[in-house]
Amino acid sequence: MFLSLKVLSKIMNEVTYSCKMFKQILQQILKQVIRALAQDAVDGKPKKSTSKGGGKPQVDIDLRFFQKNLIPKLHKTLVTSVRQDSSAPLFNLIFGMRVALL
Amino acid sequence: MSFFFQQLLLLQGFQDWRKTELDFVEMDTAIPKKRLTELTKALDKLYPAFGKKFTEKLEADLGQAFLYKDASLYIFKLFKDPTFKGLSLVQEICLGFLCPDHEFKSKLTQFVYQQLSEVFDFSEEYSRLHQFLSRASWKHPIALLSVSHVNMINTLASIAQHYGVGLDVIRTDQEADKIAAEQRRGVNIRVDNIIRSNLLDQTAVAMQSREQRYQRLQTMATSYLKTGNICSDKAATLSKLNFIQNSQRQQFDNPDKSISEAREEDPVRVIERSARTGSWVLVSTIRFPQFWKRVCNKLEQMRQEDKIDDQFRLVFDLQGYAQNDISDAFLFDHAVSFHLTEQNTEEFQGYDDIWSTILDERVLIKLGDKIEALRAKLVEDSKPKMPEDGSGVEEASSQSSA
Repeated sequence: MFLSLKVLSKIMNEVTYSCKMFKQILQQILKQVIRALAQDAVDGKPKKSTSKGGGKPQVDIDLRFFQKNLIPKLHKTLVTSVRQDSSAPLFNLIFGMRVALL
Repeated sequence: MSFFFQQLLLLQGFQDWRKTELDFVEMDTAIPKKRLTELTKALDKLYPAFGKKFTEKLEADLGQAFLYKDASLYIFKLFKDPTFKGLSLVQEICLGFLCPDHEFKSKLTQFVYQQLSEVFDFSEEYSRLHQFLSRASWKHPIALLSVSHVNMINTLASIAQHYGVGLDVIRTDQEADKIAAEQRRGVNIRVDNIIRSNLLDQTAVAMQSREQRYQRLQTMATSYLKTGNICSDKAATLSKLNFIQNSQRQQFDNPDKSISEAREEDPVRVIERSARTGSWVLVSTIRFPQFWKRVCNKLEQMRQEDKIDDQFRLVFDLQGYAQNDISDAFLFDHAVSFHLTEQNTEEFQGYDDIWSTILDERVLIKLGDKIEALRAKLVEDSKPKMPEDGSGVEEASSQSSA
């Protein structure tokens, strides 16, 4: 995602995040996602997470966690950080192309 | 991938690939011969198994100077042909560069959805401001870039009220006001002249002949302008050409300054206090705030000490600023950006107030249409009707008088 953002930045001459800033954004989103899942576990909504052991709530960091929670939120944050009329669709295209090459 | 992006960037308006109402090429025009030759060569090389066969068949049936609209239909049929039926979507897209029509655009959309949906829950919908604000406990400033008709103070006040948090609005930037005042007094004129003269490439100017300059250009890693200054360089980025615009902006007086003559509290201190107590701060000043760096340093320090409350949000309203007004470093390394446009407007109470609605371009266009329709109707009504029996003249005259 970060590489796609940098390619976009180069093509569109638009200021996007530095690596340090990108990591901090990721960290803050991650923290919030885990907090929300842990809260769900405490509230007894074991849809996305499970509470085991009775003590501290546990959150499963599995593929579903990335697919449903972390990546969509990070993606939405990045897409709204660039100009929506031109850069955002181009970011999706670049990102799609990079995913295809994985 | 390199072929794809090389070709994509050659298309006019490539960034508008998602807009179905626009075409990359004029469909009534013929494909330039040079472009066809280059594409044919590249496709032959990229897909040795079928690339040559595809382009040869296209040229054999349509000729070397085909119109895009003819190629559009033909390529559509060709992909259905048993010879080329098993092609993947990427292959069809790459071959589609021969005629980038609406079908080509729809394939790009299909490709993006296909690829991204495999990895995560992909949606093209942009998140709204309140969703963004609650997505994380943002401990960095939020650079809010919004379209002109949105009343940001109203919107943010509504969201803050919805979440039950306090909101402070900073409208004055004393440092910027001071700079503006000093400039008007002429204190900074000499400094400005120095900056202006520094924009000239002194090294290139000092060289004697043009040959010498070119020689220097080739030997040095840095590129020099041959003549003039940064303003005469066509390749210069917009952010470099900000001198005149910035100085014009500095001439504006701060309308809020006259409200209170008393010295206000330092905005950094207000932000620091809100960061500790967990309320929101909106910085909405007439010029890009000069205190941004001090604020960022303070927040950095507080982050390290873990003294920022999770509820705290700091929003810099950058509405109406030109790109060159906003510090690149701020957007690059210190803030989380958020663009608010017609596509992700808020539905909170307060947003749809009369002033923001009346300035919305879409509403203005609709109003314009309505006025035109009303005018046309009035003109139509005022015309005298000519009935068959000829008695309508009186009626028409009575109507017009009414």
